[in-house]
Amino acid sequence: MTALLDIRGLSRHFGALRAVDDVSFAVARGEIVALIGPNGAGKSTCFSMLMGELRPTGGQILLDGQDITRWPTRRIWRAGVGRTFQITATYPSMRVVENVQVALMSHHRRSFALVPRARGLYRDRAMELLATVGMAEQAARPAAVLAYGDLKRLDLAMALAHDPRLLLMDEPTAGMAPAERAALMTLVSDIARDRGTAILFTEHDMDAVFAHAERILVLDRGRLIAEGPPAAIQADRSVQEVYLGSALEDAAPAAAQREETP
Amino acid sequence: MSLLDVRDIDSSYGRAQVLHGVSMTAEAGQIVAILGRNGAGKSSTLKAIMQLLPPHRGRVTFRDTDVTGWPPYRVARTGIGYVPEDRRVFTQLTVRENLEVGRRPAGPNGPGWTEDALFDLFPNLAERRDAPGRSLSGGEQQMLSVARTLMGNPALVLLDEPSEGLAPVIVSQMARAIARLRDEGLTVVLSEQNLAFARAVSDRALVLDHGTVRFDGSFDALEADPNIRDTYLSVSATSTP
Amino acid sequence: MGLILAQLLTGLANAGALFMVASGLSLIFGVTRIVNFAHGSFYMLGAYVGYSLMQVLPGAVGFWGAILLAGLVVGAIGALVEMIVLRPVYAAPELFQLVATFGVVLVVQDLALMIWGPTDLLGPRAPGLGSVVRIMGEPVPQYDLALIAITPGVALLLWLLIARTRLGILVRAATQDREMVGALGVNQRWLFTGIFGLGCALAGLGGALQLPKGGADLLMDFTILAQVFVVVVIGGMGSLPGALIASVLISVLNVFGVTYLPQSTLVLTYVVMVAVLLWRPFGLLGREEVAGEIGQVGRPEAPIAPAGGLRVALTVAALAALAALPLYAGPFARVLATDILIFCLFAASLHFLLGQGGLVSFGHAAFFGGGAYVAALLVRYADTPMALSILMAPLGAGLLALGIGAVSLRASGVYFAMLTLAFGQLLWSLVYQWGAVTGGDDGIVGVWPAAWATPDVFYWLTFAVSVGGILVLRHAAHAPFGYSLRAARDAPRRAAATGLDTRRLQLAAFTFAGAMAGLAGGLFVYSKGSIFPDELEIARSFEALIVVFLGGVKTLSGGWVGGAVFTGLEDLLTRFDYWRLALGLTILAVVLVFPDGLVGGLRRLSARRRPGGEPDE
Repeated sequence: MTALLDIRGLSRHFGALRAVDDVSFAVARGEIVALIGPNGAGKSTCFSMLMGELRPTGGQILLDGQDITRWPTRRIWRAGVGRTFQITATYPSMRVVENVQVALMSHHRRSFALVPRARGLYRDRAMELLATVGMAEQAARPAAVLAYGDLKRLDLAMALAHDPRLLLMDEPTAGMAPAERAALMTLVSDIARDRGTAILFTEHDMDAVFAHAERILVLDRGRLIAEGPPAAIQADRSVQEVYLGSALEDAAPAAAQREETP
Repeated sequence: MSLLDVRDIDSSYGRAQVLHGVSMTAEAGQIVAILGRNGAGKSSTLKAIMQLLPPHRGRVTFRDTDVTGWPPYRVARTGIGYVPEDRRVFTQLTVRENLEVGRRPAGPNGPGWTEDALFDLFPNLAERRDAPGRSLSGGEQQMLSVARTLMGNPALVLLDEPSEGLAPVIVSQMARAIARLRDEGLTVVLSEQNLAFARAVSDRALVLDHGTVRFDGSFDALEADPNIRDTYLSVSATSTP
Repeated sequence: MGLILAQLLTGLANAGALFMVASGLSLIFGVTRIVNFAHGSFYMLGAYVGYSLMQVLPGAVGFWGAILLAGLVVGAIGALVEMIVLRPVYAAPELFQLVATFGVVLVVQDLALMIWGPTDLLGPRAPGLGSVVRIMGEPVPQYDLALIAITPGVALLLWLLIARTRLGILVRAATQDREMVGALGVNQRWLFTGIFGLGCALAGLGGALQLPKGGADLLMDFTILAQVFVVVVIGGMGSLPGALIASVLISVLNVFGVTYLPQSTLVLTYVVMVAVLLWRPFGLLGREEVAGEIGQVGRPEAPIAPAGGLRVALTVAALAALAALPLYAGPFARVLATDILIFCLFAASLHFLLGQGGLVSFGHAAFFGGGAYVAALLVRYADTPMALSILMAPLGAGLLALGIGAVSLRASGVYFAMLTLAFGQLLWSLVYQWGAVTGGDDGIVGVWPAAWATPDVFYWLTFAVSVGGILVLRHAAHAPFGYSLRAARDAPRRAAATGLDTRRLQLAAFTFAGAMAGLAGGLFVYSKGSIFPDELEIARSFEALIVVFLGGVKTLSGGWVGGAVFTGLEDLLTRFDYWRLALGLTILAVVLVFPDGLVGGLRRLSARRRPGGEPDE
């Protein structure tokens, strides 16, 4: 059986900078995979390419065996890829439920419709989705007044509107309080299990990564330096070096020199 | 009283709160490193001190003056210099013009940095003094960004990730430069992900995680507490699933 | 050969004043990000102030001294305006600040009228430079040669200032990264004031320098503004060398155009502008701009909701009273009500584009006037009956909008606005100069309603179509289309990541708004019986824009409320001598006191009466 997402030799260069350099990995159906790495490792660039926002310099992205490299974002979405954003992307000028309704209108190809009133369209389905993420009580509030954690849940509900096969989540817990973080990640795991949705997420919160990822990919300076189950990644020396720094030997003389100065 | 005293500050980007009651101090002449992973709040703390991300709760006091809520230019004029993470060199301006933007008269007890003194500190820049900022390498841009801030003759320098993305040889040059600043009597607060580098250049460590201070003390104490290091700095889990 | 050289010299001489004004505008935009609509007014002030100074200062020294002094005086006025009017609105979204500068335009117009009177002033000749020299047999005014010598001098001084002084370094640094300049200890307030003053001084200098060639009149502010926008956009916003190149290009093109293509000089200018922008969307030497924040200050927009029972009842009652107007009011009231209704539809169409789509157009009058001309031309050349030509007006305007939108939407923010301005002016110049077909300056007259449409019947027709049009626009905002459009405006990446084709949504909105403006234009031509090129002009577009901002961008009713208040106010104020002054001051007051517009301000007031709860609930 082919992998759901299959990335082969993906690269993106900005001039001499190799933001993403020959990265290959796969994600199976229903699998939860974390993509981690220090600042500037290429995680965001990777995501942007997966979502069609940035053109790869080289390589291929296959979704269920179909080549989706260089497709526009909306077509990738229609092929079954949903995403959430690091900085939440919701529509502050609308109510919570209307945010989800807009996604559903798009799913049903009615974004250009001029005749019906939008308020009642797909409202029930939108309420179901909100209930899934625990936001049903807040459905009638303007999105502009939500707390940040709730915005993240709304963002997730919108990403689930077309029942994606693959969900990309860019730092799903960034900016949330600790208790909310755990709850959100548990919710995401449940969704993956119940719906068979594969999830690929980037995250800085290691608790979230090790508690929920079945497999971890480590990027550093655009290259994939390690890949494996959480225990193996935790034990991997090169991964530790990337996170704690390896410039000790180079910096030491400076420290020594400093101590010499009176 | 400490030169810099940060008391219980909260800061947010829009609705996302990034600092939750951060407190810290820096004594005159001390070099303090703020450690933590991406998104821990290191850069935000420095921006909050500079009032680029004004705290909505708590106070920032510098030389016994409460600077909370001041516009950044006034903060700079009281003697706090800021070197941003992404360097923000003026790419259309030459090296010397970049320095000129930062120039401010020396205070009563400042070392009185001049262009020549800075070219002495960063010899690479001297060779490129008339080159436009956009033609500099990453390392040179980092040096220029530091030098530009020093032209304002600050008593306290905030250095955001000074070693990030630099080649090892440049990293050690940067370490030497920081040692020089300390010799000149400057106080430095820097943020770092590179523990080895931070340990080599600083006197004290502060560990942040999710916008909260988890550790404040000497590097020896930090070393003696592997739990802190493993939990907040390296790749490992606190709880197993 | 001699003729070509002489023309080249004339073109270069004309480029002088244009460059000074354009470089000032460019400097101001580069540092403060303000598109200064009042820049033409400072140019005009320069001319008037220079004129007065020349009356009292004798001789050659007096003449040149007056020019320099005029620059200084205008620069000081500019700095003052910046401190009083602009400082409070820097925090506001970029395009909102235009409204404030537009208020300044109106105030300056009337102050100039008060002080210098309505008659055009003939500029004095430059002492010792009043005659012509012959170059290869062709006469060239001496003063032109002086201008050709002076302009590079001014450009050089400006270059030295920008390239060599600390102020210049700060200006260039601030143009790139304002926040970082502040973090390095530079007080931006004074930098902004200084640059605004310098930019205005350059405009004043330009105005005074061209006195011997063009004199001073009350229309020169808009005349130069249109040209300066062209220059700045072609050269690249914020680029001084770009402004110089574009000034020379446009001036020389104009002079040769006058000789060889006298029927299409203006068209030529705008064709060049459109061509350059298609080739380089950010101008010859401009840099890519991050699209500015659009919208208005104040609390976030409240979610829209269908009007409640009470509001529906009140609206129905008001509409009934308006519909019955011919039964109880005289012809004056009927004419005024017709004007208001038509303008409300026009404003509502732009409001839809701006409020729902987040698209700021500087050329919306092209569709209003375009629709009007479609109807008028159909009558003139095909004797089309009224009903049909009013129907064709939105169709024609919609098609026009489809074409213009398809090209303009390749850019965003200020450059999108500038592209719509360029196309609007292109259309205006076509109509203005293609006299054989459009009647040119004389317009098309004698487009009267059909025999069955008595004045009362025509009023009812206008009422039905305008109110109907506004309701259709309102319904569109409540339909999936309106929601999707707001989604694309609120969070374009999220919209694309849920399958929305944001560009096509925006194009559809642009076309729809254009068609509605065209419908208003179709009614307009029959209500006046005539149409002139003014209706397509830049001033008309700005007027609509101001109205929308005054009404309130973030509310559904901002468009027509702004339109009604503005037209009513205009009607009231034009009875006084200095109505522009009053209107300008009103605009400034609204900008400073009701920064979220009339409807937004009213809503805020009513929310204050009901404490607690969220603003919309």
